[in-house]
Amino acid sequence: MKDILLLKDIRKSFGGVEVLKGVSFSVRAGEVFGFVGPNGAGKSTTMKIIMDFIRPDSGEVYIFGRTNRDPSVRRRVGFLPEHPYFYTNVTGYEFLRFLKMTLSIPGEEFRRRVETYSRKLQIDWALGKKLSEYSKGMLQRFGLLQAVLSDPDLLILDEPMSGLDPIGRRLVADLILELKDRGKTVFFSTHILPDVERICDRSCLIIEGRITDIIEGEDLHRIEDIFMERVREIGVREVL
Amino acid sequence: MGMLMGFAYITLKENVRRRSFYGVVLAYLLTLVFSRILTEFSLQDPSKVLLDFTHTFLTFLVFLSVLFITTDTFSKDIEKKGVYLILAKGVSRESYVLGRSFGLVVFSLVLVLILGTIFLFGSWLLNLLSLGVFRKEIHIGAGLLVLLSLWVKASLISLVVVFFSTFMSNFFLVFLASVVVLMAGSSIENLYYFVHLEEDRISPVIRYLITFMFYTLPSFSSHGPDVVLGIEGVDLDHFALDLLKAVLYGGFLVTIGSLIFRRREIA
Repeated sequence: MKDILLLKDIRKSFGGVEVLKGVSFSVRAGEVFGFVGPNGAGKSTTMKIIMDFIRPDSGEVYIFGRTNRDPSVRRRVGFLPEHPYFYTNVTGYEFLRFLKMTLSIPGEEFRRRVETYSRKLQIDWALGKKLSEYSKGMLQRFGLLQAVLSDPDLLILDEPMSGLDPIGRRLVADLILELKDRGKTVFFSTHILPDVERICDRSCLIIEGRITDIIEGEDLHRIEDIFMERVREIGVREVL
Repeated sequence: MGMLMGFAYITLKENVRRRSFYGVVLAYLLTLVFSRILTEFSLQDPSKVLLDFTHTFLTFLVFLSVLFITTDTFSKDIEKKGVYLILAKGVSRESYVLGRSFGLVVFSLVLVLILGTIFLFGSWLLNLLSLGVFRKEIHIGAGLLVLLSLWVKASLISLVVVFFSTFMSNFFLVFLASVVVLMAGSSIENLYYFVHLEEDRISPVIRYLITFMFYTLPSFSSHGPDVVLGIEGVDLDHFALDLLKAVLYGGFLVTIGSLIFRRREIA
């Protein structure tokens, strides 16, 4: 299968501390790929490098075979940051209209996508409300809605289940699986291991800025054991 | 074009619903009432007192609102990472700076239109109904030119803030730097005209320094109330030159800001 997302030996330091120590992995077309690691392992930094918000000290990122430095490549990507911030004085629908205008989505197509995905994420009733009135879980689901609005081929989600109750987590997981069935590729970071076991085709472990394992097939069912084993080996204090 | 309209749409929606926006409009309405009371203490030229006072407050409120709102808009985008959602859609960093700048210029227009309408028609009405035989005629056409001039300057302030925001994240620092430029730009203009009037008495080094600063700092003076009252004629050449300078300066700020923002890490 074709690699949709490819990271080659990414290194990044902040203030002399090396946060990413040669991160390399690839995500194949049509799969759901989990990016798993304890807090502070470098998951969000990797996400920011993939999206070109920050630049690596060395290494390359390719999306659809092109460098991530090219903004046009992100037209085919949907992204949900870890703590999405939305303008507080606008309604959910107004924010989506802003994206429609920016991305030049045709009117009919826009209405269809908003209706379909907002219903799936059970956020349709709140689109007329100001975003400042949304709860944390609603904002997270709205964040996913804005990410899928452009009908992207690759979804990059940073902790999409964070702040969601069991119902919300179920809705998001179901949507991810549905998108996979439609041939989309999903790359998401998490530290909720049962979610990985349930919805991922493959996943990789990142601990202290290093990729320790690529896990697939039957091994996904014992991801928790593998994760704890690696953490003990490396001795991450925050987790133990 | 769709992208620019999108930014104008979201910038307007976000900012006209601020409570502070309504506060500014209310404060200006109260200023009009207060200025009418003030004219009671003027024996000779109540129309001028009325116009001077309302125009000074109009300029102050427009400049302050634009400074505050532009700084806050960028600060939220960068510090709270609102910009992630925009850049993630394939909008280039240069387009983001350009789009936001356009949105803020449109917002400045709406602000000047609302407060300017209150200024022109409020002053006209007060002048007509209550100043009696001492009143002077208010020229609405010249007043519209004054408002246009104010909008150009307000937009320029907005672009100064945009420029600083492309490499500074702290709200206070951006605000402070922009106020310094605003004050320096306003002062240097007066100095420039002064040294050209007194050329013989001022050393050439000082003269060249002030001339250099006059051309490197943006100019923030706008046509005043004397034009509205017909005391001073409308100098269209000066206005056109001022407009050209503002457009060139604004374009320069956005271009340099875009180049800086292109390289910036948004961690």
